[in-house]
Amino acid sequence: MRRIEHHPVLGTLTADPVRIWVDGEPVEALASDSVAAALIASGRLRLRFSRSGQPRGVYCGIGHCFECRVSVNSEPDVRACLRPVESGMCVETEAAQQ
Amino acid sequence: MTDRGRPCRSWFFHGKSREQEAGLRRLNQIWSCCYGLASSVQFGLCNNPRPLRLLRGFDVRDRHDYIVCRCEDVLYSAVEQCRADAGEDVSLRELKLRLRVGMGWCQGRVCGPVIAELIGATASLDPSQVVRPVRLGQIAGLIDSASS
Repeated sequence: MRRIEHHPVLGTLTADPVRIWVDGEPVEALASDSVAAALIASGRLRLRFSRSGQPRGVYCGIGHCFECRVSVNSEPDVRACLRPVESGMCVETEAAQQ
Repeated sequence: MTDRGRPCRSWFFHGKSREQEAGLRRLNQIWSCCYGLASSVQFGLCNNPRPLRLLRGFDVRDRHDYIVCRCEDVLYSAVEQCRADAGEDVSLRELKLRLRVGMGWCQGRVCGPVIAELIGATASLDPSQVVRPVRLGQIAGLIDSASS
């Protein structure tokens, strides 16, 4: 997934790279990312499955819908769209466990 | 919206003049750069007194696979079926008990206004009210910190 690196209003993207772990794999994120942004940037769109088995990912992006919940550092059901990334943080998605 | 140039006219601009539309688009740009989020979603949720104008833009009667409640996987067709079974004047509460809409993780944040719109009721929650989910542990923490 491509990032917007040159934004007409925000300017050029400058943020320190941060390494996080997603389902045991290292992912390069940026310090300004939310977990959801880091997941999308690394191409991980499928985070969970719904009751009937449909794939689910980031939906509203502002903390309303709870579709993007993941576990962060063993804390369950964290909304990825609201949690900022931290160096070395360990993210587990439900989709990877199935 | 299309990539560059003229974006398509969305439901949001129905009934507004070109000048109003230009102003709103500018505001929307500022809004989205402040928040760094999908601007139309942001606008639809935060600034629109009737979030469900979203549904007015297209005819849901043909969209039986339209997901009304994402938490409990309730499709529009299920709501229609329920109305056929229970009668047109089925209440929000009855729909909830029959279909589990609004009983999932988001507690009706997504489906509540949609359902209300579909059955012609008014959602009891004002969109301007900020309601945050709170874990029991957080409440327990408050009690602990107050008593210590």
